[in-house]
Amino acid sequence: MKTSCRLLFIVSLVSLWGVASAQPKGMAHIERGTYMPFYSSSGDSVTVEPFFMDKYPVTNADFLAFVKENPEWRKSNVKSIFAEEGYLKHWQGDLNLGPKAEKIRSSPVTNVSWFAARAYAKWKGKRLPTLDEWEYVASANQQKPLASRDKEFVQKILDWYSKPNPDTMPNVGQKKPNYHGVYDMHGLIWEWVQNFNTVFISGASRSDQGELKQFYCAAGSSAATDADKENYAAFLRYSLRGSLEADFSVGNLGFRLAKDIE
Amino acid sequence: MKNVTILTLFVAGSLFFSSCSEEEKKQQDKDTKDNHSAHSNMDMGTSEPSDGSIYHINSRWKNRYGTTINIDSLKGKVQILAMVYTSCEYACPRILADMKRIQDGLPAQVLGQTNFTIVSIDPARDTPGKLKQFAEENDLNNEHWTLLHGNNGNILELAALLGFRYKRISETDFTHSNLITILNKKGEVIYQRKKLVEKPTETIKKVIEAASG
Repeated sequence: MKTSCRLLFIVSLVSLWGVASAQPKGMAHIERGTYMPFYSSSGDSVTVEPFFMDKYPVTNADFLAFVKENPEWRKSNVKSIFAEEGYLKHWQGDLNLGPKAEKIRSSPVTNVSWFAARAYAKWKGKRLPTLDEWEYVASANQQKPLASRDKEFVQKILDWYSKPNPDTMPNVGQKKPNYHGVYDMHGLIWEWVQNFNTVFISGASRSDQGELKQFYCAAGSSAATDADKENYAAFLRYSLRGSLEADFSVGNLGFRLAKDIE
Repeated sequence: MKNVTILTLFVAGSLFFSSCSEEEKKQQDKDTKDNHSAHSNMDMGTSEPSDGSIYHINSRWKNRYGTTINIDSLKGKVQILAMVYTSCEYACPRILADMKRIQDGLPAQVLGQTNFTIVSIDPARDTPGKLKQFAEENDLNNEHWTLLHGNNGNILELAALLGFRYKRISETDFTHSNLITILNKKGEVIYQRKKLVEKPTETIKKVIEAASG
């Protein structure tokens, strides 16, 4: 009896704490932190202010609920300006996940454009994480917030990058969470970020050297040319972002959400 | 007793969340209403934009006079659009110069169906007042030139639509694509000039085609 009373007391304390900080369900509280973006040659670190981040990527079931309520984002209705042809191509119909429905319900939704991800975020009263927020959270391994110089950690990520995509995406949250309590930052999908279009790649290819200067308004650093060679994994992510357009729908590209702390 | 405490906490919690979503809903309603009123103020005489029209974004901006306008008020004319910032010293003046060369290259009756739009990527410094001053300094008359000030979210969204990339690199400067986009009267992207070196000949040809189409 005593024990159960104590337990109740703890539960109510936990609830109280939950109310006080209003931590949204399914989100992790990310503390203020500083990290070194891979493109930084000048040694400038970037500080990320506290925010909430989804623990898991958005799943097919989550996205199905969204298109049910928002018909304009169904496969057959979506405006071509907001999503290219492959949008949700792994679904059988507008509201039909197909024969593998049960298997993919809890796997991350992919084949979604940046516009669709953004509309989903708005519907949830949230937003997409910024590039710096995403990279900061992604630089944590299980033990520490900054592990992007940790050889074993980076090697694991690179091993995943070199693997072909599975036919059916595994469910979210199957692996251990990172330092922040966030799952699947690596090893499952690539993810949209709010400002993916701040990454430049056109000036970076060797045949393009003549255009490099053309591409910039003021003399500045380019993501790829100042690449920190140590962090090849981050380089690959930046390259991908640099190659994306906002209407692209890619088979291993999904998203998760972030939220400001009010 | 403790059960009551927990219940209270839960209720308090759910109230908190519902008041949050209530607030958001109000904001959304407000947005919708504002959009509607912006619509009714415009007599476009055109129906729902086509699937490929950028005017589906339905975002609101301020012009150089501080008047709020919806992006789809640009509909009905061929638009020659560039995203720049007015304190830029290298590429942006060249982009503006190219837009003027395009203007000079258009026959009068095509010019009558054409508008030039400059969208600032530096909303903190390019206030409507600053845009007005910039327009005066560069002879950008109100008849053919629209200068837009917007919030960061709307700028990012428009940039994403056009495939325009930009990034703040210091207190005063941005790095960005040097893009001039031609939109037809419906708001579909029909041509983009991506390099500064290109002569405006091709762009002028495209504008003339769009105006007759």
